[in-house]
Formats: sequence, C-alpha cells, structure tokens
Amino acid sequence: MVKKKLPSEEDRAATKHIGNKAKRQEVYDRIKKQKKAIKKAKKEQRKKDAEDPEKKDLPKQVPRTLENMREADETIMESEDEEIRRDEEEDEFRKYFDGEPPRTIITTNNHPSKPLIELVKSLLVLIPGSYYYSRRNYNIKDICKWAGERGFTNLIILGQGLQLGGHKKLPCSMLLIHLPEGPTLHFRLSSVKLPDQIKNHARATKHKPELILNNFTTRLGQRVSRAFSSLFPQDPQFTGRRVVTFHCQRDYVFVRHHRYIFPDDKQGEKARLQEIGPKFTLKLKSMQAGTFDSSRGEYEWIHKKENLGSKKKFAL
Amino acid sequence: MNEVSLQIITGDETGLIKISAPEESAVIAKFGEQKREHAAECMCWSRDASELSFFVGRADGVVKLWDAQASVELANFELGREACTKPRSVFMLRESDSTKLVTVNEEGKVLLQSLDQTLRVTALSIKGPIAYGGQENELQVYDLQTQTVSWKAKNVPENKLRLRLPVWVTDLQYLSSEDENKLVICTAYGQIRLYDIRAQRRPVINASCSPEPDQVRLNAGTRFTCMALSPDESYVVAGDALGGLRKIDLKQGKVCGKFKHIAGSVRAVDFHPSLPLVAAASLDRFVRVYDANTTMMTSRIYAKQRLNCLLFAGEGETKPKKEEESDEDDWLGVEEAKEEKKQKKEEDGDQAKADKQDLIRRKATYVKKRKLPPTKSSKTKKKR
Repeated sequence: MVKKKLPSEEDRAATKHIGNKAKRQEVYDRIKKQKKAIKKAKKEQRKKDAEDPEKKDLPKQVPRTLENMREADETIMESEDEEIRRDEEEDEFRKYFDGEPPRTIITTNNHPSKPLIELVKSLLVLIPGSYYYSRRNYNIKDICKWAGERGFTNLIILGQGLQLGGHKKLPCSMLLIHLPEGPTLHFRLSSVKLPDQIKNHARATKHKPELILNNFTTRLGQRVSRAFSSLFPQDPQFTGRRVVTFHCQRDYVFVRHHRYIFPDDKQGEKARLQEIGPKFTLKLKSMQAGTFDSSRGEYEWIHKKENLGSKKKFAL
Repeated sequence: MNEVSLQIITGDETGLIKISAPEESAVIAKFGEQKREHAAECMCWSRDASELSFFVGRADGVVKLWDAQASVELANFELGREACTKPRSVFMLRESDSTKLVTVNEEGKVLLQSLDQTLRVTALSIKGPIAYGGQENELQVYDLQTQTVSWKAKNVPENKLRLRLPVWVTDLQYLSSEDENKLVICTAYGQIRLYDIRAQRRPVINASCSPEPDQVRLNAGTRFTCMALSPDESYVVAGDALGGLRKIDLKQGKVCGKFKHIAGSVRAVDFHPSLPLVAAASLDRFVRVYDANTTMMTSRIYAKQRLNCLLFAGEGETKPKKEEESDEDDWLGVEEAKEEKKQKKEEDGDQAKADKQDLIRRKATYVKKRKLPPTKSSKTKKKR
C-alpha cells in the first residue's frame, strides 16, 4: 500500500487563508509544481557539475547518517589514554594478550535443533582451537567451573528460539563467557547464513585466520572487541589469506569470514574477496562482571530502554 | 561565595582514588598507584585528623589515610596479608581515651577482635555496638566491651510452600546516631528490613521489591548491593546489581521513587549531609548525582574505571567555617527582600482594590447617564 504523503506544514500555511476548496487546491498544486521544478533543476545542475572538469574540485556533499551525526559521548576513546592502557594490562584478558593460546568450548541449549547444530559445525571451522561438547542438561555455572579448571579460555553457548510467525527453532542468542574470571557477554544472534547458503562460497583451510575488529569506539566497545579477539590465536598464518571480520555499526556487530587475493597482474587494484562463511549479526544485550550468574550476578552494562533516548546514541 | 562546591570521592578497582566535582562534571584530582591489587574496597571519613581526610581499605590489606585537599598520603597501616585481605568495612572507633581504627574483612576477621572466623561478613556498621551480617549469616549485634553477641536476628517465617528463605545481608545501617536499637538492612534477595531490637527478633518492616521489566527479561531477581539512609531518616536509597536505584519509604515499606539511567551494578550510594542530593557509583564507570526529592539526575561524571566505593563530601568538609557567616548574611538579605516583596504586594493589592472600586463607580455613572427607553405607561398616556 502506498501511503499518501501529507502536505507539509509550510504548504498548508500558504493556502490556509483561501476559503474556497477548489481554489485552495489549485493554488496548492501550483506551489507543489513549482517546488518540484526547482528540485529537478538543482538535481540536473549537480549532475552537470559532476561532469564539468572545472568544477570537479568542489567539495562533495556528504550524506547525513546516524553515524556522522552521532551524539558526543565521554566514553569514546579518542587517543591513547595512559590510565586505560594500564587498566587493560591487568584486566581479565591479560593472559590471552600475554600469549596464552585460546581454547574454546562450543555448546548449545539442552535440545538443539538441526539449524543450530549446523551453525555449531561452521563455528568450529571459523574458530581455531574450538571443541564441541553436547550440553547434556548441565548447568552453565557447572560448565564454567569445569571448563575453567581444565584450562579452557572461552565458552560459547548458543540458544535457539521461534522466529515471529515461524515454526522452526532457529539460532537466536549467543553467550560468550571468558574463563576463568569473566566477563560474560550476552548477544542476540540474527541473520545467520551458513556457508552452504552463500553463493559462490569458498572452503576454509586450516590456517589460523587474521582478525579485523572494526569501529569499536567506546570503552565498552573496546572491552567487547577484546572479548572477541580472545577467541582467535594471536599468530595468524598469512599464507592462508583467511580473514575474520567483526565490524561494528550502530551497535550491531557484523561477523564475516573471507578469503582475499591480491591480483598480481594489475597493480594498485583492490584485493578481491571471496566469502567463506558463516555470516551473522550480533547485538549486545548485557555484559556481566564475572562468569555466568543470571540471578545474583553483577552486571557491568545492560541494554535498557530508558538509557536509549536518542537514535544518535550508541553504546559500542 | 554562597555557592556550595560539591565534591565526590571515589575509589575504583584499579586502586585509583578520584575527587570529582559534579557541578563541572569532571574529575579534579586523582591519586594512588594504579594496580589491581591496590583496589579500593571500602572508605570512611576521618574527622579527627583534619577536615578532608579519609581512610581507604585496599584489597591487599593496607589501610591508608589520605588528605583530599592536598592529595597526600597521611598515614599507612599494614594489616598483614594473612590477617586482613579484602577488607569489607573500615571505620573509626572512638573510645573515651583513644580512637582506634577497626577493619573487618570478608571472612569476619577484625583487626582488633575476631568476631566469628567461619562465617562470611559482607556488611558492618558501627555506632555504638558493632552490627554485622552476611551470606547465610543473620544480622547480629556484637558488644565490643563484653565481647559477646548481644542480639541476633531471627529469619523471617517460611513461605507458603513451607520453604526456608535464604539469608544474605548486603548492607546495613543504624537508623539514627543516638538510637542504638533500630537497624535498617538490605538483602541480596530484594528486601529492605527494619529491625527494632527492643521489640522483636524478626523485622518490624519487611519491604520486598519486585524486579523491574528489564530484570524480568534477564530472568534476574532484585539483588540489593548497597544502601544509604536519608539525612531525615524517613527513607532509604538502595542500589541493585542490575543498575536499579530505588527510594524506599521506611514508614510504608514501599518503593516511592526510582532513579534512572544507570547501566551497571550500583556499588556505592551516599547522601550529601545537608543538601537533598544522592550520589551513586556503579560498574558502568559513572558517578551519577540525583536530586533526592524529584529523582531527576543533576549530573554525571565519567570516572574511567569500574567503581567500588564513594564518599559524598558535605559542606562542613569542603568549606572553611568563615564562609558560613556570609551565608547567614545572605539569608538575612533574602528575608529582607521577602519582606520588601510582601510590602510591595500589599501596596499592589491596595492599588488594585482602589482601581476596582473606581471602575464600579464609573460603571454606575454610565448606567445613570444612559437614556432609558420610554416606558409603556408614558406611551399610553400620549395616546390618550
């Protein structure tokens, strides 16, 4: 259904004084036509300017987006901060950044559906040094304790749920717990595409992938990015040309897995990408200090409706 | 001159102590060595030594006395690593001839006296006898002179399913400085309780706070972490592990206000001694200052680290005494101005009255002047 555009406040004010309805409509249409003509002329002028070699140096118009209109936030880390750097040296991820190789357990909810098992399979390929353990009705707290004692550094628990209007149980949540001290990150998982669903996808090799963490600007974002990076080994094998990207935009984290190639014959050209998969989107819902304890745990950050306020505010 | 310069002292997980000014929304001073083992666990004022000095109990079992104005260390008390690591509470004990520093750690070990070595102590308060409680450790009052537990609370009755309710005291406070019989506690299970030692062993008021929509979504209950009693002792402000900060009326035992916009667990709450202001330090690295009456946020300060403890400096701590006199003068000035206003109002009122009377008089004359239509009787007379 096409929604009819309501006349603007300005146009209505211009014709408001006319009592006769037919006349008012006529005048209103005339104003509208004039405006349209001006808009068209402007557009044509812009097109001409773009082609004109003399006016090529004119500054390009930048479209206004939510990102570049982002509201000022004191937690955005602009430059190297000595105090924050020293804090990060001693935080929960210090062992990983000191060179401890990551070991990850991937598990699911109690009765995983087939789509969830498929996702687990592709995650095992995505994350090197990851092992699948079936859940077997164990408590998350017990798993954390058990895994922490055996030298695992991360625990991923995937959850499933019914989508709106659907009857299939699809992956919908991800719990990322850093062991043994925490933190616990709870994400909403959406837009999952497995490798088989991606057209012209490549097969992953066993090389250790490179990691790109993009656009995590705030202090919280920095902590989230550190949690992601602690999943992957710190010595990537560049011969594999495998790259995993965590791109943050408007508080959504887009996860992609590619193989790149530099074209040899044409220099200065961009690297070509081939997607390996899987790809999915994550949205942070809460970050808990310490390992998982939903009823009595202390939260470092929770997504709350009352804190949103503006569309131009972002947490990550 | 009559502006009150507010100051908030915070201690964080990395061992830094920061003084921030909520009016400028900025940190003005920071001191201490940044090390995670030096994490500030608890704080208290020391009004004996100087005007703006305070004790800080560190995670490694060292208690330090700091002077906030000069940002210098005044004294250092090594408690011994085995004896007192992770101090939970630090306070000044004033006896008739001497003052002592008492530090209590999580295992219930006290610097001077050992209370009960097997039970965990998470909250402790002193105004007279020591009161303490913790996880599965009911509220108790300990008399330091006789070294015995003089009073112990009794758990609330079993619920409808005849199940025992768990005990976890997270913060407590004596209701007033003179009265040693009334205690307020908050629990990790979302209750605010008022005990009257003379009346009974069970709480006189037991207010339980239901979780908010956000907490229901996360499948989490209300877990109170800290509490502060208002200066007029009519309500408490309690913070929980999910960033909720609530105002709870002690007479009705009901939530009477919510302070919003906190994104992480509230670790410490404190009232300004004279103004109606509440400051809350939370794990989301912010200190927020609220108006206690309207529950509106007045300012927030980004403290960069996860915060553990907080002290709200009152007027007495920040201002020299000389300024108070000028304050009084100002108050006199205000009263004079008020009187002037009143007089003016009266004068204005008189003027208005006169104007009204004049208008009525003029209206009357107008009515008089107006030509009246000829009456029927006169017409009939003419015809005749």
